[in-house]
Amino acid sequence: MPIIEVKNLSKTYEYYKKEPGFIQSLKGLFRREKLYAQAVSEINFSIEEGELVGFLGPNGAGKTTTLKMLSGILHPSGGEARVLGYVPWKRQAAYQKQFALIMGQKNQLWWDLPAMESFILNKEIYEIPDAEFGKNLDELVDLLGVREILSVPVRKLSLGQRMKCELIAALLHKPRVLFLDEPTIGLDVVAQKNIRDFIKRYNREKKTTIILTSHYMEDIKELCERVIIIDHSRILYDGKLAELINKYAAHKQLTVTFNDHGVSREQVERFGELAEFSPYKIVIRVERSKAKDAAAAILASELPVDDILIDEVEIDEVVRRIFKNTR
Amino acid sequence: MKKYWAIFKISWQRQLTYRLNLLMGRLRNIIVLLLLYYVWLSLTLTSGKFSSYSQIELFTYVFGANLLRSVIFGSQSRQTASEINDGTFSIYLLRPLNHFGAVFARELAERSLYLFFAVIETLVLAFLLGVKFAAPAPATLSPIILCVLLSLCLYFVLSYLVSMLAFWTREADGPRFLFEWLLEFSSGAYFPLDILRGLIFTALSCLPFFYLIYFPLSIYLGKIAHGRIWLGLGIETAWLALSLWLIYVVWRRGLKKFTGEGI
Repeated sequence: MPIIEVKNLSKTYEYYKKEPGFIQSLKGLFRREKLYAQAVSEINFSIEEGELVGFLGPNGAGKTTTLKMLSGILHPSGGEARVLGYVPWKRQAAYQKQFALIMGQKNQLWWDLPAMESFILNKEIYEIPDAEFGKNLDELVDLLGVREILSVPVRKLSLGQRMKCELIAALLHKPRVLFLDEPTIGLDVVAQKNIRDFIKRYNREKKTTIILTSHYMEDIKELCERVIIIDHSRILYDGKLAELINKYAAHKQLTVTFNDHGVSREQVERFGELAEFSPYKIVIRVERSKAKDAAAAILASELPVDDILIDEVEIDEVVRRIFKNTR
Repeated sequence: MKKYWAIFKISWQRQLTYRLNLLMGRLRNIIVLLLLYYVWLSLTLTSGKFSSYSQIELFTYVFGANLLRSVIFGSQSRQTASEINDGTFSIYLLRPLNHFGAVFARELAERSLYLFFAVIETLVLAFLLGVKFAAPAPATLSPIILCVLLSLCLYFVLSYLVSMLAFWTREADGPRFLFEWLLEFSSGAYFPLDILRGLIFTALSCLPFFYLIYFPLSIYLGKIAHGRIWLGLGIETAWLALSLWLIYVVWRRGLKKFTGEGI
């Protein structure tokens, strides 16, 4: 049975039109035009226990709005959702004790105090027994390697250290469902990898169901077997990441290297669309069905071929193309 | 209940982190207190009284108001508006925690700290200035304590209600300004309201603010007949109940409007 079920979930925001300029601002005092923005439009999906699903989409696609509805912050304009059997926006304590939302762009720790104070507060809020709190805290602190910063005020921590502490604060009550909204945003590559490794391990060991949104394709590639692509408030794709390439990448990529003599652009243009060109290395895009024939033709030609590789198009490129085609 | 006690403790710690802010806030209070003291001193210099108040009663009122301001007028309920606008409010919605209760715990932490400083300020200034205070009738002590506790709750609830306008508008500062202005004037924070007399006094007595500062100090000074004390406390309780009901209604509607901006 799915742990998260979403049926025809929609959210429309209301706002007022604001024309630029002083005169328009004055006019706005007397008459304002109400506008509506469809943030999420009748989306459907379900997620099984223990899955780690990536939510992909450009800014404003509706990813965060969906997470806000699933965590009970927002009331939807229409549709239904159940997480662990609960309607999220009823905000029952029994549900709140079983999930956590981590926002990369929003600090949930007490800014002026050491992170340890926020952990102790969360212990009381989630009514975690003393022994369980001690055990969970030790485990998480060791896993993330933050023991020495627990008594440093949060405002003095680096972004990476803060995110580790955010993770601890959110996981102390052992949530069964975890919503991660851009957890690696703004982090350097090393910190990004640390957080990614932790999420991967935590999901594997604890069987926690995770929905992850990220702008970094590395996060998605590394962590998510399944992705849900959302754009313009609608779901464009829901399935395995690997199958996304087969479905949306109509082309394959041939990378050909040449020996010392090199080649000219005119000599190689006939084999396919040139994505990269230098006299010693080219990347050409060819239709999937014609990839083998094109490779054979290049090898059979008079060109001084040193090596040839047939690759799938990078997943980043596929996603970029999907978003581009929907604009 | 333990979770709110934990919030109380952590709020105390945070208040003490910003010692300079705390000291500056107290300095402002001392300046206002000195100002009011010298105004009333000059007004009562020749006759020893003003309106129906003797000099001792007026000084008791001014110093008493300083104490009550510190206990009653909090800032945490005020912050709710910015919390709604900047998304911090969402953090409370995610947890098994009542936002109203959490902010009240923060408010109590702040008020208890401010009361501590206000008592010291009042005693030191009274000693330095040689001010003598009127003593209350022993029978009025319990109604005074009850009234102060009700005033603390009533101010918090009214202020929280005003902050909840932020669910509908990002411009909650305008109504807040009006609220603060009305509050300062009509609660009797600067002078005993019955000095005004006539229609203005009657109008002010119809507002909930009337019960915040003026009413408990009038009980203390014996200006209110015993029977009317309990009637006043009943009216104050009714204002509190009405405001709490309004919060319940506004909260339910507001949450449906809440867009979780800032996250």
